[in-house]
Amino acid sequence: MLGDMLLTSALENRRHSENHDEQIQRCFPSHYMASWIDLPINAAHLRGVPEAIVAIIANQAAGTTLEPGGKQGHYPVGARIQDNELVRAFSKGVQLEGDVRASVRSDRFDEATEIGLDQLLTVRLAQFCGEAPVKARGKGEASPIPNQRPIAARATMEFREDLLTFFDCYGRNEAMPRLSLLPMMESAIAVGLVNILLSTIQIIERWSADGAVPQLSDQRSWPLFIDCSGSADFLLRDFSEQSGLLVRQQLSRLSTSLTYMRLLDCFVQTEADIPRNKLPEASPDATAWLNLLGALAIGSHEESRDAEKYFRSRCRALTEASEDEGSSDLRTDILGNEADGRRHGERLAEALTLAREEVAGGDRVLQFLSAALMTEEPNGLARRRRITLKKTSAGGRKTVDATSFVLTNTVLEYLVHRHLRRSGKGRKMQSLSLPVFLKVLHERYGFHIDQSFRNLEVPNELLQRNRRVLERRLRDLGLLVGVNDAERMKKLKARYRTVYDVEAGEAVAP
Amino acid sequence: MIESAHAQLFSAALIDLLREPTNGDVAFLRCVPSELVDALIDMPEFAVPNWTVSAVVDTPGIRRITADQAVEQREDKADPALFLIDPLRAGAGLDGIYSAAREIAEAELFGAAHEKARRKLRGKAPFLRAAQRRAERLGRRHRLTPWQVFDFLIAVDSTSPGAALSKIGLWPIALNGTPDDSELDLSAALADRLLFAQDGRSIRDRVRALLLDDPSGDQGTSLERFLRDVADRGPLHAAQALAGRPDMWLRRLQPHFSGEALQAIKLLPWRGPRGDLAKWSGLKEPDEPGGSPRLILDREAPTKDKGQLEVRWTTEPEHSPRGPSSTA
Repeated sequence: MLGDMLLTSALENRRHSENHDEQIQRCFPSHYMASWIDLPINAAHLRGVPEAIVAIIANQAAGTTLEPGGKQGHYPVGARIQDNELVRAFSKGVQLEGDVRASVRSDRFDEATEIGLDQLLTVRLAQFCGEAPVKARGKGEASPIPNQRPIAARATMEFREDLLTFFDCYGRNEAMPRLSLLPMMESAIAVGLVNILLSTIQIIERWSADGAVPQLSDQRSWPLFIDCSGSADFLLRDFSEQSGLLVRQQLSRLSTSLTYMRLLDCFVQTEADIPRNKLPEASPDATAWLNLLGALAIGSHEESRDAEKYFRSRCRALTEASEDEGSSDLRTDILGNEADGRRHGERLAEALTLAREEVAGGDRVLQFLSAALMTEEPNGLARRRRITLKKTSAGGRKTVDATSFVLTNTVLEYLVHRHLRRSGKGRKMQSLSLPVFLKVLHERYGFHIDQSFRNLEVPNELLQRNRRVLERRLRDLGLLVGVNDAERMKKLKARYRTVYDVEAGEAVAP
Repeated sequence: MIESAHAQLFSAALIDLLREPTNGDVAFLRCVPSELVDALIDMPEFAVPNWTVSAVVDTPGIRRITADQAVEQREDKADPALFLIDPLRAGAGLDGIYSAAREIAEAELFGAAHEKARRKLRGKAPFLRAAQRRAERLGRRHRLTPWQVFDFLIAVDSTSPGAALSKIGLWPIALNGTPDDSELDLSAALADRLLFAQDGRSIRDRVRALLLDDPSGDQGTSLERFLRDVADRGPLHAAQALAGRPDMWLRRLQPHFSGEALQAIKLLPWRGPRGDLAKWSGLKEPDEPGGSPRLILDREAPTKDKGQLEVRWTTEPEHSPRGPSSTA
């Protein structure tokens, strides 16, 4: 029974197995003390994603790293538990003893506190560990969190707003049961990260063409066609998979553009004749810095010619070095092809990207997208299936992964609950009809349900069917009520009360 | 994008579907893509005798009305009215029309329109079927919308069958007659490799793998530039951009990737990019650093554990027929 309890509320086995002897791969953060449970060594490098989320939430206005113990805002880093609202909500019964900054055992759980069984199990697991893990860092090195925000500023701002509005309404004072809250918070992070990553594609495209990061008002979400049937309707699934293919094709170009940025960055840092005091700030917002790199790339900066000369000499040096070794492959072919009409820096970036991907065993950006989508997870945004490509030639068949975008029940619940509340002070309730909800999904996250978009045309009847499927699912989940056929009278409603509702109820009760 | 032929055939299809009206009859369409509603309603050829045709959009104009005006027209029960509704712009208030008026559904409308378009293409039915079948297999499973098929049928009539292929995502062929099956296969294979590619291969790599008959290298360079220019578009839009580049069409491009003559063979290294030995090679790492890899042949070992040295290679073209091969 204890094993089953652990599996349902505290731990997750590999491939969601129900066996008690399977490898554990995950621990749910149902209580603050879950932070005492360490990651396995081979999973310890999370590529800076948790740090990026922390920097987004902390929203520190200036500085290259987050200042610990800062008093500003509701979500300071390195502050006391009670000073950070997000941490405080998860740390019921936790008290601090001894030297908080130096000790990894200063968190103490007060056994007299009443908490849910799921949280208690997490506390017991933490106590069994004995102490919090030491931060992964080199000997004697500090490990500050970089105060760097994604370049997709609009998507980032909306992610922060969504996450904090949702948490503020449903996460505090256990307004929502912890086992419902956690999957929805994960869904919120998935929606936000995917939106940030895919918005970045368009920003980088515009940067490559114009040499400048688009203004906030010009930043758009990347369009995704959502299969509301969750793969039950194969036609909807097929169109959603086509949408997945479009994303995949664009992402494969993103790596090269990012490498080109890094090359330009390297040129500015080490070679360019630009006075240090005239260089723009690169953090927390790198827009000005990228605009400088963009000006160098498109040739509008006075150092552009020098940059091209520098990259040309690098390309030639690499080509000559490979000629000496007598090898000839695609990368040297790209480096040596000066007549292809591209800038030398672009060719160098492409060759370096190919080399890096060969060593890394694939495209990291694509892997990040798959993880951010929480593919195949019950609260994720995507499904994957292995499909066979029909080949007419003698080579037989080849299989590839096809990704379709879905809104799982948890994602739907999160989106409805989030958008039933305003993001301003007091998080007031707002009326939300089905057409308005669809508009929000479309404009804010790029989720297309009853509309086609450029590059993907979907038959109109299929779009209508998709919308009907969504409507039926929302009704089944108890999130939609409609008093008549009029579209505007189909209203979304919450299943959970917010902290504000609970507090208002308590204030009225006596 | 939309030509008078589209409007004429749509009108003809609607005449067949609506038949003779009586006063007060109301019918509507809401399956026409939003961007085409304006283009269609502005064409004088788009008309159905005895019906007043209006687009229902957000602002009134010539042959355009708003949702409120549409509701009034329905309640007046006057002249028969056909509404071309743009659901994205028409706004709320049309539920009465949706529930009481006759809807010409997408399948019904395009079924009739396709039929009308096909009648003009006598003798080309096998080509049309074969081209559509191949287009639906592009990428993995590429669904065509009724509009795309309709557009293709009209293009076959107005341009040439080879040029019209780009409307459904296939690579166009510079040919006045009708392409045969092998040419369609090549067109589909080229579109699959260059526009619907599943892997992360670079554009140069893809073009190189076509084994173009291009001694000067100019065609390859032009093709690469074209593919880079359209890289931010979806495969179908990229194919449509080919319509304006006849120098890139098949027959002018002569790829040999699907031929039978072996162009090149390349042995795969036993060591991976990180320097470690591939398992499939059958070799073991040396005992001492800097030593040679070892092949252990143990005659006493069970069959499945017996060591064997494996050599792998890739060829150009990728899929060569079995048996002895000629070289180019």
